[in-house]
Amino acid sequence: MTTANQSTETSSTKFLRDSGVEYEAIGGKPVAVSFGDVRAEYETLGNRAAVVDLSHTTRVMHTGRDALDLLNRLTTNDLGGLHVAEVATTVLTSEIGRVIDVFQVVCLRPGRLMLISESIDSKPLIENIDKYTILEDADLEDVSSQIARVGIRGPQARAVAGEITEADVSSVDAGEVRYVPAFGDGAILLKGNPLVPDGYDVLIPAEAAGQVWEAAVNAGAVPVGHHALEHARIEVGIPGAGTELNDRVNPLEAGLEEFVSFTKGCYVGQEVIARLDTYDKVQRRLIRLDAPEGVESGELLESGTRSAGWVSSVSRLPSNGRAAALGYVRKAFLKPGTVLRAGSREVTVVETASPGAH
Amino acid sequence: MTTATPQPRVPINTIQVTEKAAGKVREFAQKDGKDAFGLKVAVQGGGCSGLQYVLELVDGPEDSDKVIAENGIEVYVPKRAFVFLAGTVLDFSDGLNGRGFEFRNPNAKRTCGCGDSFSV
Repeated sequence: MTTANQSTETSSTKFLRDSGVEYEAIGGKPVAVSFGDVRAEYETLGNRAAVVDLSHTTRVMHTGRDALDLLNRLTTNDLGGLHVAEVATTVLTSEIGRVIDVFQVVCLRPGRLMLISESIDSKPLIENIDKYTILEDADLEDVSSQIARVGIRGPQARAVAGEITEADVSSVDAGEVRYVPAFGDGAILLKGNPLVPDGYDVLIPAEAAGQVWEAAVNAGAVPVGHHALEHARIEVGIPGAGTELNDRVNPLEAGLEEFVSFTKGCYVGQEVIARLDTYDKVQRRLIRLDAPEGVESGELLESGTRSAGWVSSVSRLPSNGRAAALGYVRKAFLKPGTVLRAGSREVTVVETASPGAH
Repeated sequence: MTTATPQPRVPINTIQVTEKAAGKVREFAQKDGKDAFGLKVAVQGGGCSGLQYVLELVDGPEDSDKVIAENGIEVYVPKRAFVFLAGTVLDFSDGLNGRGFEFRNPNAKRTCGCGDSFSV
């Protein structure tokens, strides 16, 4: 049984109203893209603490006696040993081993899981779990609009996360999820997307999210929007939902090996992924690219007359011509310094992205 | 992943258990010391292709099970699983390279290499 609760509003729309936020519609939802100065926001991510609104991303409650066992049978990581107050990241793949979504599984209590994905559209995750729920006691509910997600990022994020929640952040660093009796009805503190350095997330009922935001700002965190976050993500080679993580690629191409168990046995797509690994048949890799002005995401990459891959994300800071870019490139062209063509422009391979290294 | 090859048709309102498979089921029941038993045949999410077969010796049917008598044993199929199993033949393959219980499922568009998982 599934309850879809798609909304064009997000839980942040009210409390950010007077913050100078600029919204853009992305994937049908308003996304807080900037607070007026994207370059300054980007610099904050490198040297201070940032507070970011992640309300537009996906939160799904997965409840029932069989929910965890079902996820363990459907997705790439070994979730069999996930205990209460622990979190693990896993990949839902199709029957042919292509990425449907990458998400964190938070075990709130036995039979009650929260699934957290960076995807704006929750439907692929919900529908692809729901279609394999036959006899299991497992229900899915999209709670993205009821449960807000406020992120704390940057090198000083740890101090801010600890101060506003009064939680033991060292246990959170070790992979635990902490319930904190703050902000009225309480909140949950956990490590943010494991591919992001210095990232913590606060999950809280939507009506109390403004309190978290205000506390973070009072503790010294600077509001940062989606544009600056995206630039930082692309610059360090972290695959993004939809842009790099989609049904064109498999988890090994996207550098997600750390979230794939090669020993736990079957899951959807396992036969294909195991074969790619065993016979070293991964054809292309996610790569960081140096791209001049004019190169756009989606452009095909070529070397002479040979197809070399495609550009998946491009981001430029204001007043900066060259772009941080990501793409998928065939194995023959992975050597740093390799020059490829995107239309009439030259694009240079920087290095293979290693998402887990950041 | 392999593409299923056409098999002799079984009526779609039932599933068929071959004599060999029924004999093996009785053998396992005997080893478990079960005098009265039935074979639960179901489907759950998982496996390489998305859906995997479930076989279990049980004491009796549940209210929502379809009950089928085949070669001297009772087969219980949950009604929500029957849509994926209608017309299936359950066989048994023994010997050194045998796969044990085998499903020949006309609803399966793809079957994984080990034969335990399928998609529709």
